[in-house]
Amino acid sequence: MSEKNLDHGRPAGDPDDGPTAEWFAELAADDPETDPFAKRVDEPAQAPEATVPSPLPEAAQVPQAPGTDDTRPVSQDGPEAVPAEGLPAGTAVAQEPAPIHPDTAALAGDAASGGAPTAGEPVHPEATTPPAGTPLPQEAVASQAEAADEEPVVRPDGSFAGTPGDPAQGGPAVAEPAEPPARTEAPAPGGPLAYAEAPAHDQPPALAEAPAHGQPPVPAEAPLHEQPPARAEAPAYPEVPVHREAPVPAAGPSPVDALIAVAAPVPAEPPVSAEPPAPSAAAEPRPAAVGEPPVDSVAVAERTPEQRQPYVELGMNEGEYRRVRDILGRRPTAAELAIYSVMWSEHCSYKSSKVHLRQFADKAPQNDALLVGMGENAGVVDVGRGLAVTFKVESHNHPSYVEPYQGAATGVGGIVRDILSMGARPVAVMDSLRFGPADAPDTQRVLPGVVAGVGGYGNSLGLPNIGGETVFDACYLQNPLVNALCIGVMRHDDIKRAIAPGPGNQVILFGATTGPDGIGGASVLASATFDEESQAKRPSVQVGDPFMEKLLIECCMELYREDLVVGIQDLGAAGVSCATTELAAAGTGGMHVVLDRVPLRDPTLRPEEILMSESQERMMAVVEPAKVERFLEICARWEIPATVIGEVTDTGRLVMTWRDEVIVDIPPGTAADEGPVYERPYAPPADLAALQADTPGRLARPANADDLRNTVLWLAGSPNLSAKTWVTSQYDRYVLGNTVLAMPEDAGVLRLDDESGLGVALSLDGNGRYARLDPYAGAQLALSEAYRNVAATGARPLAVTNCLNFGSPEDPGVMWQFARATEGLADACQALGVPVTGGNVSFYNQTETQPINPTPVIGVLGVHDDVRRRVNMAFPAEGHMLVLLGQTREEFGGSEWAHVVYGHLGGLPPLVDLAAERALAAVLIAGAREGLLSASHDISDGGLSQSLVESCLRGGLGCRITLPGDPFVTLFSESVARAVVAVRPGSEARLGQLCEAAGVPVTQLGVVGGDSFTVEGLFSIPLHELREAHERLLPSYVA
Amino acid sequence: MARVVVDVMLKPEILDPQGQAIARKLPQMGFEGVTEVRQGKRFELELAGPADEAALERVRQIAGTLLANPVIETFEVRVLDE
Amino acid sequence: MNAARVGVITFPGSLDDRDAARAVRLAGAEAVSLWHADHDLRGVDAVILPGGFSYGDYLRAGAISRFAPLMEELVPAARAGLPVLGICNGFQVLCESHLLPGALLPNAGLHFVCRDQRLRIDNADTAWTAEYTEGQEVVIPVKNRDGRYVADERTLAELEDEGRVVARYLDLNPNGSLNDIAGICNEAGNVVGLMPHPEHAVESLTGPSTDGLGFFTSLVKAGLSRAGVR
Repeated sequence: MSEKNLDHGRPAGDPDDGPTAEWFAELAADDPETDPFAKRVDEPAQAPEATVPSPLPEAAQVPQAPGTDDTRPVSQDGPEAVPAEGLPAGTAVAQEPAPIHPDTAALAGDAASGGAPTAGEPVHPEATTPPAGTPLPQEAVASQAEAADEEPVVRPDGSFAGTPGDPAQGGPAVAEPAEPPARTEAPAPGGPLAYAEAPAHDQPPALAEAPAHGQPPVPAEAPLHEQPPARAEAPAYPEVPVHREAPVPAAGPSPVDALIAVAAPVPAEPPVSAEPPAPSAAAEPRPAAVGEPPVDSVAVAERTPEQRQPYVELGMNEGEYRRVRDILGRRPTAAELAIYSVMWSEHCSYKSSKVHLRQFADKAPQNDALLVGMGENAGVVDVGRGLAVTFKVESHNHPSYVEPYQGAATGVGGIVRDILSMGARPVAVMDSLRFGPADAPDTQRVLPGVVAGVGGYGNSLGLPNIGGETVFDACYLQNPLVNALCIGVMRHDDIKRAIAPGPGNQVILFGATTGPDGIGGASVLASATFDEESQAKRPSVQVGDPFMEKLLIECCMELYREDLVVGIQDLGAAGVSCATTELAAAGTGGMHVVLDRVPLRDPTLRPEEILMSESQERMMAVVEPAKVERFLEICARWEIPATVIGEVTDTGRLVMTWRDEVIVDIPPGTAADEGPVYERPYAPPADLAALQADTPGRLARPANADDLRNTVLWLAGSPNLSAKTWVTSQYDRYVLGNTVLAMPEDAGVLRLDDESGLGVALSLDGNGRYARLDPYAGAQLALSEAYRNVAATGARPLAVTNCLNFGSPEDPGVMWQFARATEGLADACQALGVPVTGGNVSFYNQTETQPINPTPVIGVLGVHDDVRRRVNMAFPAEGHMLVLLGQTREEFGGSEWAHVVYGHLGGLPPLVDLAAERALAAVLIAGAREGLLSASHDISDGGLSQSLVESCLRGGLGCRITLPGDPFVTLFSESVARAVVAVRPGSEARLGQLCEAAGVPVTQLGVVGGDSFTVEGLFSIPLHELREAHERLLPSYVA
Repeated sequence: MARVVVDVMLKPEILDPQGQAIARKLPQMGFEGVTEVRQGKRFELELAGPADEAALERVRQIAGTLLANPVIETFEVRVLDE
Repeated sequence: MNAARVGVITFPGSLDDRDAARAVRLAGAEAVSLWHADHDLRGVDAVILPGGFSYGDYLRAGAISRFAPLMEELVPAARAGLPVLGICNGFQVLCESHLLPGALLPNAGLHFVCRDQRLRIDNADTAWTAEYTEGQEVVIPVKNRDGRYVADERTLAELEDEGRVVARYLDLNPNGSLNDIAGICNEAGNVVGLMPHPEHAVESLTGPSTDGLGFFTSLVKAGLSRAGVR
């Protein structure tokens, strides 16, 4: 069966047996005869289900959970505690602000010095050591994991056997950093922090200390125990051969397959129809699927405690599975297992990153602008005039490698829905893209698809794309990074929350119908490490429908306008599982869902599949009964399917029924908020010391003026510094009519209010090479650059979002990079006074054992009181004086020059200087406000040379400058906290005053003018030659 | 000389927003009775030689590597009767 | 109020409808929102079909919108002389509706293209271009995926002979349009289809120029005089 040739499609005359049959056939494991899961699919008797459709009962009649389970008293670990303090408004942050360091300059200094550790320094002094046990060196971890992989975790009879030698049985084993880190604080042991509230990367600070409801403390699940090798993270992803000739990988059943198979009862079980129907459950107007396996109901689960379950295939370890059993007091049903497995996946639970991300809240600077902090779909900041802005960046890396167009498109779609679900109108997108070498064949496959996908989706939604980055590096060859950002605007009153309060309120699923899209994607696809077999993992691609999403946006705007929504949540990873558990957990605490009512694109989908489906363009709303009719009317006006699928209850339980049987009965908070939390071991990568010792000082520098001239051209035409017009011209930057600045400007600038000119600026930056050399500094440098870019337009930086792209957290070296990067970012945000409002973590970006460079991508949002005073980067007029702001040091570690000319990566990145960054921003903002600057451009990758090249070409005017000091260092060093500005005639003195007051060094460079880039006494390059060099590369590779 | 047709369709389980949009419009235009629309592509390849099995195998390779995206699409190859 | 009332149609998937309305207001007219599913032109003096991806551009750009209920009202009104401007997707709808000849196909480069485009106004006698002078050069953003204008030879010859090419691309043809055609009009000159987006060139803050405003002020003049006649 696994030989089935997908590549060539269905053979002619293939029986028209419905898509799902084929889908399962394709996913099924090798030989059904030897595959217990597959075999069971075939066996069950056909359930004689009712075929007489009956109309949906009135919404208000959605039954309480039938059966007996719902009557069970809320367990002691019931969810009340969670929703009660559950997701308080981010105002909690404002009410209980972390104290600001009294001396930010000193703090910045600290951070800066911390950002450049010597080669041997393993971790920041305050790094938390893993909680207990004796660490293992990295090699031991690997072999341990391999051993674990080979050991069966479950005995054939379904009982649970600890793996011999399983560290969990013998006490936690924790890897030890190469050198024991200095510890100044007691670590947070499992208990209090173990299952802290944090559905997504965004812990509300108030909950960080939330008690764990008596759950077993984390150490019971030893850090090492859940560390199978990366492959084991997704051992049984549908592996379908793509080519007939390709060797068929030994494939297990797909996770969903396995679920369904196991859902089949043991032969002794009575058929479904024999079960008495629940008293008032809605019969569905859907024909019973022939051959449908019987339902693995709660009642069945209670009768069959020894039923083996495919938790390993679903990416759960034994400890996690055991915990689910403890929570429920029985084995989970197949549907419950689906929910827990997907909600506790790395992707949804942030189980490896949570302990580190907590710093963003703990160290958050006081900021009155923060209206909603971390913990919701996206943070919300006040920008004045009653307006609020929400923004967030999210990754869609792995899907974009598998199917570049759809992967990137659905990445945009997902982040837009996040913003939409906050109550905001999405108003712009940005994209941060990273690919392998520009000339690599696979880059030529991935890049055009990704760009077309980002553009195809965003353009079709009518959202301007206002900026981002396109970066090339060999480390991303099989791990492209596609990080998409969306920003939305709303009035303060319109902020919406992902909550389901009010018993009796109706739960409405609206948007696209549910199909077999990306089933298991959340726990498998999104976290699977790429390897040779990834080509075989191609199915379960999600297809985006931007037209539907555009309708959803307009529909939601009308729903919000008429105040028809109590709570709302988008369906992203983990689909219905995520939306129902999160809404319920954050609301009154209970919800009853009639799963049969979910409108299906494929009527043969099983409940587990419905729960895990990642079909795009879906939303879930909680609506008061009296408003349901109007809600449905508006949906109909926009031709959007909408269905009442359930009701809010006060039972404290999330109960789902299917074919009149209870198949889910759980405390929702245990799935949504109380997933496992791991303190994974970490230690500096073995090669880091050598890397840092290999400084660029050994590289030969340009010897004369000709060499310097050639270097300017070489860099200007190099992949990372060359013009990205080929990319950005595929994006609509005009739609909505409020784009004031867009790429290639330093930051995108949007007008929010026509009359006052109130607006925002946004920049998205990252530098994986810097972060590779020093992740603590690298994260700070990314923030530093984004902060500077926003300020360069004249905007006041206000808030931060981030997308943290790393390799496998099971690699202690990667985990160390992650810990250092998050700490660096949290410290720098504190020093700069800009809080993190939300973000996203993407792990497992690696090929085999080779992780990508750690790549924190940081977005900074700034505010323009009046966008008419923004400054752009184009040199505008002859004769304007050119000034270099900031101090240039000799800094080439991780620089574009070393990368382009020598392919060298070594030494330390530029020194972080947050105090200087703040001072520079103050000058740039004041300069813009007072109208002193006619152009302003930040200096970063490629140094001053590149900034001048870009400003000359943007304005079509050259410049004549004199270089102070060493020409090479001045032109190409990448020291931070610098910008080049053109000064309006007559404003020179005032700018000097501002700089002096702020302590920003000023160097007069020359003047704008002419048709060449001229460095007096050294060289002159005609603009047309510069332009040719700068604009040639991308079209030559990908066009 | 032979003409070979390659029909490319989205796999049945893959969402086809285009087909759906068309299907939703049909009843509004008064065309009833159509329950589903799936949109595909048709390619016609003119061969230099006869459409023998070897040639068709080549066409299948072309279809599987270029014309169709096996991630989301299936295809059928057939010889067009002259 | 004596201001001309200009309707802007919203189809499912229209994107530049609010921009078009803003341009109408900046030109001194009143923007009236029209809904694709209504049979009501609300007595407007002129109609704009805005840009976007109505119905996702599924099937063919404009192919499904063409059957919107409102189009059943618009087509006869346009044939009777109502000024109608189709921008980008609106142009595509007008061609699919046969109010304008020819068709718009995917760009020659096969990519969506967004750029600031230099154009020449070749016909300054239409209801929408009276503010310009023939031969005037303007810069207006172009942004489309299916912007390559094609028509059979006879139609092209007719368009050229009758001076019905309203605007032409200069410097660089962004999509492979025949004869560098950026916009055309019907025989009466009241129906104009334009691939570039004049509504994105009405404010110096947000556009590359304010060259696009003329399309809307031209109409205001025409609309006002028409209103006077009524």
